Amino acid sequence: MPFVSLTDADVEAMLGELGLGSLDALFAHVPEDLRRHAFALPPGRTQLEVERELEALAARNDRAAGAACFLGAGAYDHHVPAALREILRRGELYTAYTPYQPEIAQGMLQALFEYQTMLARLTGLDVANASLYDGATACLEALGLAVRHTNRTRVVVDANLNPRWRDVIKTGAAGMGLTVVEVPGGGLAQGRDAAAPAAAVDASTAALLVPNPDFFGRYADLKALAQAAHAHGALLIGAAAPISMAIFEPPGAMGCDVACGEGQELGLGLSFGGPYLGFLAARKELVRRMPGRLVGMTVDSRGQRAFTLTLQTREQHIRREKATSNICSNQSLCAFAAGLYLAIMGREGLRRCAAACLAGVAALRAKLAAIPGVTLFPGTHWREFVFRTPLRAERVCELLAAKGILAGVPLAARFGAGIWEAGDVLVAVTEKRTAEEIDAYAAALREAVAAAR
Amino acid sequence: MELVFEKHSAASGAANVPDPGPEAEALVPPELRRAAPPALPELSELDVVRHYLALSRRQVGVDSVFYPLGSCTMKYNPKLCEEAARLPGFARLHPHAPDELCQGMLALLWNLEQRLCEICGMDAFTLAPMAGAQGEWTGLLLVRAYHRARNDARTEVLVPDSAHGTNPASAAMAGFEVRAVASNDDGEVDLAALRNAVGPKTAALMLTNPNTLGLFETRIREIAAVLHQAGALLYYDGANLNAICGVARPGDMGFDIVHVNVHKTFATPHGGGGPGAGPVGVKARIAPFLPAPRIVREGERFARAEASPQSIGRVGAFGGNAGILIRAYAYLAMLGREGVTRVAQHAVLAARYLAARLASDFPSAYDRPCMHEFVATPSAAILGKGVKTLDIAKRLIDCGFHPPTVYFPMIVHEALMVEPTETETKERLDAFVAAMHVIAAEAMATPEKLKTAPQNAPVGRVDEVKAARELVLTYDMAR
Amino acid sequence: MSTIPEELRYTREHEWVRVDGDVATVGITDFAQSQLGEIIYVELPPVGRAVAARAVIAVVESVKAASDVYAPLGGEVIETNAKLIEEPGGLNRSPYDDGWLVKLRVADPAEADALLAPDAYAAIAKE
Ligand SMILES: Cc1ncc(COP(=O)(O)O)c(C=O)c1O
Repeated sequence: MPFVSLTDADVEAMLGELGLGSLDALFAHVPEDLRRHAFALPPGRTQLEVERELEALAARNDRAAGAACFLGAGAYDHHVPAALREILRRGELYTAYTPYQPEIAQGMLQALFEYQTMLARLTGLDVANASLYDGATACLEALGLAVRHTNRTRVVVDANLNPRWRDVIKTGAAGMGLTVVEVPGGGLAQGRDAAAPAAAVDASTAALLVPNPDFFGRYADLKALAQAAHAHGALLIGAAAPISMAIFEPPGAMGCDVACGEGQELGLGLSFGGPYLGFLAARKELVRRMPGRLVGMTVDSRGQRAFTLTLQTREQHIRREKATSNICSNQSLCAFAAGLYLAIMGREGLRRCAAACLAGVAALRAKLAAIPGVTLFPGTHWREFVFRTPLRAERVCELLAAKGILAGVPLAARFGAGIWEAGDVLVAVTEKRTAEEIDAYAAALREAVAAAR
Repeated sequence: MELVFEKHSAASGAANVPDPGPEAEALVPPELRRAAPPALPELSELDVVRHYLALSRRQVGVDSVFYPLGSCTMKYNPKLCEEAARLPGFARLHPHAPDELCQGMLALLWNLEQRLCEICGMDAFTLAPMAGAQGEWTGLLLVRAYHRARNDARTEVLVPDSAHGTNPASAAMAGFEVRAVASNDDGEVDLAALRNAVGPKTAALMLTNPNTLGLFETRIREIAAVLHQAGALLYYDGANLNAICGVARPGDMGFDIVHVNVHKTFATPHGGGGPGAGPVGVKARIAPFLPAPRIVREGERFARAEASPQSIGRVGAFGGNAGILIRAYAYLAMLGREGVTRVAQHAVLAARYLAARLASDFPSAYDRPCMHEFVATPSAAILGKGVKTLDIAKRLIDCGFHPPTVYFPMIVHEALMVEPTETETKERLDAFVAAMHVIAAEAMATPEKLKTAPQNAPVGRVDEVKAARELVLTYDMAR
Repeated sequence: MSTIPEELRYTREHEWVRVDGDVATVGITDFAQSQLGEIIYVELPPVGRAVAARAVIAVVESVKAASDVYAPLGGEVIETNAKLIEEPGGLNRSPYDDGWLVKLRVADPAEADALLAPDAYAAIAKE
């Protein structure tokens, strides 16, 4: 029998010690009729057989997994360093659980403390927690933090936030007592617009949540929004992309009180949508309202430096229905990996990675601009942008997929109605995309558009 | 040991990515440019590797020691499952890749849903929730949507006083008022108290079965009837599914909604605190409210569908922690029908055996047969020496064991919650028993030895009061 | 054995009250502080807030527990013990004097008569 360690002799001896005649007798107090179900599950298989099955299943995705990936919209095909993958396989780390016994969990605790420090430095804020589920739930939790801090319930959300993240905010809003007001953050042709979000903040507003870059890859200066929010006693929350902060002004420096978002790009790979990493950083003053685990530095009984979970009175296991969040198991190993990624990349590695995205986007935009029938939109684009052709976006993606290029996300087909049109494709260019792939992309698109004319 | 910020060597991170040259950054308008680069470590790859290996030596997991952490099901995490999740066809698959190109992935997830339905006795599953607590939250939003659709505005969720903290916290996050229901002297839900608490405002009762004391709720059918007669739903917190998996099904007991913790029952690793996954299963009448995306099968083809108009919406950016779900699928495929049942049988046997062998020094809080775990307390004699459960836990560390869960559930004074799981040998269980009795003897003879434990860990007892009082949450706050 | 001063009134939730004219001083009992253990954080209400009887007016935290403090009487917060923010341990050291939490201007001082007398509270604090 796989993965049970008691031998038949052990079972017999143990049952004997308990005065029981059979394994079934262990369940004697479970009502008999509840134990009669004949489970319709396939028979067990050997590791060899299961390995073959999984290899076959994985192989059926190979065309997508092996394509030149220009997909983004919340998950990005960045390089995962080999050293990171290697270290993540240390059994001591990944088979542990929540470090409630700090004396034998210093490895995870220190690594998470280092992660918290790196995220705080990167975002330009004071403190960061040790992970939330993903970028979408991090936004929801950030809004919850603002509500607790301000004792207000109205939150203003820039509609250029990732639509999936807006969905999650809507899912959670009613239960958390939030009134969500979505305001336009600028159309594709006009570029980003701070006027509407700023004007929507009033004296009953807990927070203004603004993406930077926005869903269309555009960066903006948030300082005026910070002023508008703070003038009304509201918090400014920046939903941000960590790698971009190597080059771009980080949320903290632009006046954000909280930064949150998706940390998948920090060495986590794609993995069909998860596990990823919700990050949340904030000013020191907000720390007691923060959701999620926090690791603190302290000393042990001998006076040596040591680490432990701290401020646990915010958390569900102590505070129950009054906790700052219900989160318990989180994405610790992903936070660990993100810290490790930043340590491997270092200042210069991360700068290059961020710059390579800028350069890749610029290169692809330049090539697409030269194709008759392709429309581009203005803005400071870091890793992503939208282009429009007269074809339906799904068709464009299909044609390019046939050439081994995952061209991007067809906005209308994937996300329904929005400020985009049927021909709009959201495309991402990471440091992994080569000049050849960019050339091939442009050539294939030129052909597709020409054929349709 | 040093922090990563205290080491310096020839930085090599730059070698990971080609330098696009200064023109790229010149594209950024000055007002958007970061003034000074973030202070990240600058280390050679070798030094990074050594740093993290040194960290891993200051950490224990299931792969290192017996880890009988109650309520957490710290079973062995099969390595094939790790390999499977890393196959490029899974690991490099973008969640926005078109369905036609991820048929293998979708088939796997669809099949996993089917198997979870069968194991739990449910009609439909969503794999989207990313942990047990998120499953609870999702489940309670389903409760809310279900009642709303019937024009029934119910505002209260009941939880036993022995419930895990996530239960009340999730209920509050889903907008419910939380009301605790007392346990009786047998450690089960007090039916009279339950009848008193249930009314037209009751939306649901959240229950683990076996409950958080490791005891099977023998009157589960009556509990379900009380709720259903009042128009309320019964929610199953699947944290303890390992005890009954392949033996009995929550759906047959009368539960309407369940979440399972795949990082417990289905052997996916705990990751030092996550990630796990918390799929949610429901009876047919609740299925229309499930979150997007739904995985559907059309003949031999699989697709992701948007949810129905009645859906609660989305609970995460994508479809859940797919990388974790792959591991769970692989585990179930290896176990198969008999294997699943064997898991529950051996998990219960191991717990029952430990409870019996420890009883003289660590009597169970309830004198009843336990399921896959049990809650014990140090004997009166031990407590009389001024020794606390915490001291026993710390001394166990010196003996080479991870301590059990301590101080949970809150209704048991000085609780020690032990869950051995099915993956330990009898020799290991016996060694644990021996260590516990030695510690009990030490508590009587040399209690100081316990109070100053651990002595053999990477650090001595950690000062949690100082940590909370002098908050140092980043390296910069320390300076 | 915890101390229970004779001149104070008490609640089942382990608050004490000292009524002086229309001003009620509120804190938590010696028993409560000993149960909580070393107190590391105290959250106090803003001065001027109107509170109903039994509403939460403060939160007292140790490392492993957090306890809400309820207003034994309705009224308006007129002063809070800011020293506790700096030194929450004052609450452990001197729960009835230096460790007071909040002063309320009460609407009806006679409400205090309905609170527990020391001997009645002593019976509760033994449990
Ligand atoms: C009884 C019980 N319920 C719920 C949970 C929450 O699950 P998770 O940590 O996966 O969110 C846990 C686990 O930690 C638990 O033990």
